[in-house]
Amino acid sequence: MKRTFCEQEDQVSAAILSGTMTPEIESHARQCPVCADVMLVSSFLNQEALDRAPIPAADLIWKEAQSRARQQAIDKALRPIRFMKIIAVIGFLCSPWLASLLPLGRQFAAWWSRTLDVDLVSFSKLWPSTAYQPVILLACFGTILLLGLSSWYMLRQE
Amino acid sequence: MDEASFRLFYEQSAPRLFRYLLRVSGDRSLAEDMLQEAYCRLLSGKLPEMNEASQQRYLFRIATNLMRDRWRKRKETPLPENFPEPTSGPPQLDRRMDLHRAFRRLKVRERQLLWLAYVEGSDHREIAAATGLRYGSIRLLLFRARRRLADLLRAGTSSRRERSK
Repeated sequence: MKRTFCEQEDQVSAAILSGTMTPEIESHARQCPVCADVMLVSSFLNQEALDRAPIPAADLIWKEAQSRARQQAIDKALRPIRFMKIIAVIGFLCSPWLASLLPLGRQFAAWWSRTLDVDLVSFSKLWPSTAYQPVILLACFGTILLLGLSSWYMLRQE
Repeated sequence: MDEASFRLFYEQSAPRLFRYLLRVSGDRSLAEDMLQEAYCRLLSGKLPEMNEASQQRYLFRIATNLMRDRWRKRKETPLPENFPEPTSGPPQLDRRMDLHRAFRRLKVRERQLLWLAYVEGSDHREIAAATGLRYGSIRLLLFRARRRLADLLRAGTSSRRERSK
């Protein structure tokens, strides 16, 4: 069975890395197949590492990082506003339906329909009267849930 | 981190990180992109207080993950075993090219392991942290990668001798 490990392989690679190869380590590396591989590979890679490739300027990277940080801060600041916009749009779209279901809403709808000459009360005719109570409860629950979620989200952001 | 301390940290860490990225990816522009990305992620990350050595290890970890992600996207394969050998060239350049070719024939993961172990001097625990591999499997993976590169380097040396005869 081939050996996959030698107790001295770390010493061999450390000696090559630090440039302090002793005759003992070198003679061991010549006899041990594992350490011979370590010596060959490590010498090659460290030769490769000697190349001094020019690196990009620090200024460029600093400016890029700053610009990204600004963009991230803007995105983060706008996130609750975007969230509330969505809630507002949903609320706006649902408002005629909710208004037509609630007794107070129906009075308002009647007043609006008289003022604007639009038959808003006819919305309520879309649903049978027996379905009002659970629908109202569901609508109230949904509204409270949305308000709760948005409040929690805003608090979490702060 | 303010600009002055970043500059200092960059001057100390960037040459090593860039050599790692360049040698393992074999693509200069890609290595530059990944270097920039790694530092940007380091600067934008909400990191706990850590010393310079830990920051450098964290950078190598980001860079290693970036390379893995890019390689998944590019689907780049290492050079095949039967890739045609060059027929002529100055001996020193020939040798250099053979070495480069041998290294490029390894998988990216193998190149990362070898570089971290034998150039950065990272121990198995640090390699496992940087690569996301299991600590227990590093020894075997490193052995396989090392054996493969050693075989390729020896084959390159013997074929160069035959060509020069």
